[in-house]
Amino acid sequence: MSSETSAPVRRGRAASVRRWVRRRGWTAGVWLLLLALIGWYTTLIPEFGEFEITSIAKNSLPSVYLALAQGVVVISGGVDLGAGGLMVLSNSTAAALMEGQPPEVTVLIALAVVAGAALLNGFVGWVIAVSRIPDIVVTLATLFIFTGVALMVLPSPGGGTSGQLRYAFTGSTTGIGTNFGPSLIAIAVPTLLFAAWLTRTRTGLSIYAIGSDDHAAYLSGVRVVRAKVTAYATGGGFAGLAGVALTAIANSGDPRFDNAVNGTLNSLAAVVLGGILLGGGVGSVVGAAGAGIIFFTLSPILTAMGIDPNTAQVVRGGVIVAVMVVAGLLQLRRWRTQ
Amino acid sequence: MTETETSVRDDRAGARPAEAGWAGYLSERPLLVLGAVLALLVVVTVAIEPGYLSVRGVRNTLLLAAPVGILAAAQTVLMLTRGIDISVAMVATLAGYVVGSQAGTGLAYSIVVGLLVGALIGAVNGVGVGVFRVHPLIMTLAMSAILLGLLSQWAPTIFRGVTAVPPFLRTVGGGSFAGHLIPYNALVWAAVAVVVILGLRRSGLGRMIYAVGDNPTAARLAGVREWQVLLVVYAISGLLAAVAGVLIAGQVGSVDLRLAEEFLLPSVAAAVIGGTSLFGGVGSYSGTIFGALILGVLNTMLTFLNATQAMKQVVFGVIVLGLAWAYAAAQRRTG
Amino acid sequence: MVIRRSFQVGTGAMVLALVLAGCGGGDDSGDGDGAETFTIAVSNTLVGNQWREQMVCAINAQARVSGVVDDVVLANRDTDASGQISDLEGLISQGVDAIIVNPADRTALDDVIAAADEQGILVISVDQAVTAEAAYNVTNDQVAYAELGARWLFEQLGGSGDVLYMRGFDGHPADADRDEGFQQALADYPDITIANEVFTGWDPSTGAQQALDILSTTQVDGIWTSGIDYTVVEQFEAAGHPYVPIVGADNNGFIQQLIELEGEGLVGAIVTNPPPVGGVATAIATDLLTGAAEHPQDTLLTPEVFNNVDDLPALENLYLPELAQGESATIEIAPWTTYTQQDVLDCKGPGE
Repeated sequence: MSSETSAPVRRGRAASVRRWVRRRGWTAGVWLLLLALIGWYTTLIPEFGEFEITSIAKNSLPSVYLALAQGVVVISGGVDLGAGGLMVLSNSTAAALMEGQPPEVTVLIALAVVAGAALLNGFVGWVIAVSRIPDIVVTLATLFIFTGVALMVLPSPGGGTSGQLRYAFTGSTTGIGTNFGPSLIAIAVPTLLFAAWLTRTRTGLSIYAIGSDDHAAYLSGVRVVRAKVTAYATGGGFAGLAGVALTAIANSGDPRFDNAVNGTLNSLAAVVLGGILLGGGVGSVVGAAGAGIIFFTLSPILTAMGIDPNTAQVVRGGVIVAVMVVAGLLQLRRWRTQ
Repeated sequence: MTETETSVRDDRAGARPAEAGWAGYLSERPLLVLGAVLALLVVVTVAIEPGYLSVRGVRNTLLLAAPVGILAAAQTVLMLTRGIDISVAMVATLAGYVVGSQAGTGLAYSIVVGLLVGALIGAVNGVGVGVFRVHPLIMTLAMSAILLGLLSQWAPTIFRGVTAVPPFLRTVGGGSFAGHLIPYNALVWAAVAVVVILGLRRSGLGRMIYAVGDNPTAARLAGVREWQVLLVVYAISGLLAAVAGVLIAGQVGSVDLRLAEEFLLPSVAAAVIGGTSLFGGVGSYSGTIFGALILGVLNTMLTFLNATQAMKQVVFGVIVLGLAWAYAAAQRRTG
Repeated sequence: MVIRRSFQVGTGAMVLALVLAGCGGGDDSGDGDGAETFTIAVSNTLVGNQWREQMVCAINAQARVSGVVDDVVLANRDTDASGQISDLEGLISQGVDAIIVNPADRTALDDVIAAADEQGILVISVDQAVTAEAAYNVTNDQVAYAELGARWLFEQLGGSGDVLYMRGFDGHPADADRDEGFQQALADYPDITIANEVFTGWDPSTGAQQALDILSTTQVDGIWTSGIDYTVVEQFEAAGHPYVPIVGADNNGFIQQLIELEGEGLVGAIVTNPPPVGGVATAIATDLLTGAAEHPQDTLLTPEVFNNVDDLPALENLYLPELAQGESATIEIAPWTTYTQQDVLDCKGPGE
């Protein structure tokens, strides 16, 4: 009697643990890896305190937001090469408009920039959905267009913002200090809210659905074009937020094309390490955010270890390939056993 | 993906019946449209700078388009298999360095070594993509990062002092003959074009490339070993990148770490403009050739216009998007 | 289960990769042999640029010969001002004694430099000046760079003609400074007209294409370049265009051309823009750290002009066959640097 009931229960619990691991294992692993890296970093420098925590938290904000931006688009089955361009455009626009403005106005401009970026990228998503041109092609074009417009808005690095806006992202009106609260909130709240929205609302799930199989999603009543536009628009909003965060950190804008390309490439790497499958439908933006911080913290760690920065570049590329190869091998094995 | 593609396309076709007349005629002949775009750009350029119509203007367009065209050949072949190669610029740069460093031991030898190194790196990409199923974008992106890191370390050490390019390569890369009419590098491009076009149309490998890109499952069932095809295709991409790298080094006269960086995005754009679909299985190299020429003329025109960097980027983006859209629309109509 | 194992393997692979990479760099924090030694850090945001690489080599070389520097920490990656701020914060955390920074932005680093100053860290900005009060600035005078070269060119053309103006990177502060100097010179020569103005982005391939297009089609009597010079000279032959007077920087390849092609009618001048400005900054840093000497807050290196008509021996003296085409031939800067040419070529820091 007892064995008859307890065995299924135990099996049920084991299954649920397995399910949890399957669903959240990678994301949890990414964040554990981040903690391990930071723990390691503390042993490399003379003192690890509030200044260091603040530094890592605030400076990784743009990477986190851009990873979220790329993450949602990749989940929807696309890829946004223009995300870095939109970040640079938002950064340049915000810095150009905010310079010398009172705090309230800078906040309004920040909101307008984020909303504008969302609208703009939503339009990009619409173009992709309607024209059926591959995502890579359309967003390659927007990478050029966005950075070109950024150069028109702000021809050379400059501009500025208010101390209050800097405080909101960096915990200090000078952009540097030991108050890590605001930066940690700025990482955690948008990431968790966004992840909850993606996995718990109908609209969010429709984005997973079209990424997984857009034809099946269409047949089961998902409005494919609308989901695509939503994915690109929310992604655009986060790219805009990344631009505003950059403005707050540096108190200036920088329209250079290289920054856009670097932003896009880093966000792609973060998404991949974060466990979001290129091709869509699988993964969590929480993992992508963690991976964004990992790639960010690698550079102070490698610098502190005295590693040649060029070696660091090689290591980074090797790590990405290694992670992908391992994931690919496991997928292959699972595929064979099924 | 393919199943979805086709069915959605079918839905649309049902909603909007295939159009007859000139639109349908043109959409079946994309090369005509590309030729018209090219001609229009040339006319506009001549209107801006009448001197362009001289022999030299045409020669320059060929000279500047050749490396882009050869890199775009790599992208075209890869896109047919649903791939892409972001590492072509770094492979090209590496080939330039290798040829420079080996030039002392004999020119032919140095070129062969340079091209082999390119093919080898391409093959590594192919193993990643074909065997380990790494996404091409990520695989080649990581390869690009690795090569930049290695080259940054090697440039001041094992490649120290090899930045000058042998005179022969400078002639091939930047010189021209027949009264400054035809650049030598266009001959190399023509040879590449013949091989690629015939190879895609006539050879078994060419058919397998189209098959793998069009429908991987069907290709697998038909006995095509996908990983072998991908391995070979990426090796070819590396080889072509190395050829382009040697030509670019010859044209610039020296090698540096950012030698071919400027050619990466145009190489993708040329293939896209030429009508190769990133969804695989659709496209040809003849379209890409037009794409490279269009970009070449466009670049020259913007130089004559004293266009700012900002303007150049916007125009470039709009052209890529506009032509890709037109092409997608035309394909839907006929498809 | 599968995923968990995949994550374990993945994590293991990453940590292993990092540890393996870590084996390359040994940490020697022990400096208890009597004399006080210092750690100097370098922050650079442009990778793969020969000028910057040479700047770093000069820093390494000067640190090595100074005898009072036990480590040069390099924070070197392609990034923007915000990335540089985080690099600088990391260096502050490491507790280095001095930071030599090639700034990505004139004003954006003000607050982080102030924070470094509070920690007693000496900050020296090289190549471009920053507005931070605490920072020392060691820079080449970019306004004079453009003006001196332009004046030589306009004189060479007899005060009239069409000049091709090949600028650097649109929006870069050094390019803006050079434009100011160029316009100052141009104002004094009313009969000089600008045939064409292009931005090379300091990229040789781009400069080559632009020069080829313009030389083939447009009347050009002289060329002013912002340091993309030897590839432009290459294009004369490709375009089938006779040589016209050209101004460039002290790049080794350009100097070689001015020497070798002088007989074939190439007339040109170099303006020095030495990357060893990094070595100068290091010398100033060690002086200030040890208290050996005082230095002014701003050190401005005035460029020199050499042309192959009057100063051919000087050019031959500058030319170094073992250098790359794009490398600057000016290596030692009196009275600051004390290293030898070979030290810079070796590019080795203290203890390497």
